[in-house]
Amino acid sequence: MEFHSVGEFLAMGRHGLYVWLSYGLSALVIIANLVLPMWQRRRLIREQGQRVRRDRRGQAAADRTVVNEEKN
Amino acid sequence: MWQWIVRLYHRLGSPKWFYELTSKWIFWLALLSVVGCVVGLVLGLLYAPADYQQGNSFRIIYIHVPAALVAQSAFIMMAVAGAVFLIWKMKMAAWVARAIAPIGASFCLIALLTGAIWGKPTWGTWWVWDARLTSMLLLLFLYFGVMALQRAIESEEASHKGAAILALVGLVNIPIIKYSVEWWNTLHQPATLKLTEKPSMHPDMLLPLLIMILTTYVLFALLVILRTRNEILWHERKRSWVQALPEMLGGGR
Repeated sequence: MEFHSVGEFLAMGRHGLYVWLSYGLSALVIIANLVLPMWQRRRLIREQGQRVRRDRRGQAAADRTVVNEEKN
Repeated sequence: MWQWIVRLYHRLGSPKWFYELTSKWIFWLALLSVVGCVVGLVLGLLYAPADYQQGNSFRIIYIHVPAALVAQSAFIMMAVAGAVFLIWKMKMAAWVARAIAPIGASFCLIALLTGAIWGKPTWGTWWVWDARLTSMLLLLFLYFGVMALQRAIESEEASHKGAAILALVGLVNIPIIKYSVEWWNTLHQPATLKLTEKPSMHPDMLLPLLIMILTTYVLFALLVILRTRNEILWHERKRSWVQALPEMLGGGR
């Protein structure tokens, strides 16, 4: 272990600002790259899923009644 | 062997095959990224000795170098995918290229930001217009150009083609980045790692760097897969296999 206390670790021997700014900005960029495609996926599934379910309902109304009866 | 390659090629060209295969990979790639990141950063930030010249600011290397490597590799992969699209009209290749562009640009941005921050305590300046920094900035602009072309809406086919051509032309910049520290006088230090030479770094400093490089490639693969799957869901939304996915039928979120 190179550091003897949390304070020493955070200070990084006068270079704390540079080290932690680097890591902080990088973390932000990476988190954005993880979160954005996950949001996009949710939106795609919500919108396309609605469309798919609507189509299916229109096409097979009779089947749905049967399924609903089974559920009940 | 050749037949095996041909079969793999045809499979890779199948969005359904890619989608189903990668759904099992996401968890493991994410786990590997987290574990690699924790191990690499604990070793790099806590256990690696401080540099005798640069002190603790050298610890920026553990994101700077991996990000810069991935930014360049990503550009090469994007250009190769573009070439595959141009030559064989494989749509999946165009979608992968479109997935790679913003991710590569992000890693390029990370490399530039951390480089500037590292430059301040080391060289006394955030930025100099020298060969390495300028060619890396050019890489970022090339990424932006490719992204802009890929998102030109008029004709998807034409925008993918234009983007692929720009990516292939932009490949010229990659060797320039690599050799910039040797061809020109520069503030930037020469490569820390060379495949042909024994590393000059202390093993306690080197091991976390290698872990972080590997981890960054794994993370890159994960990010490309996430975005490519979205491209597939969108482009194949009218196909029966997408409509039959459990997540589409209200089973999932």
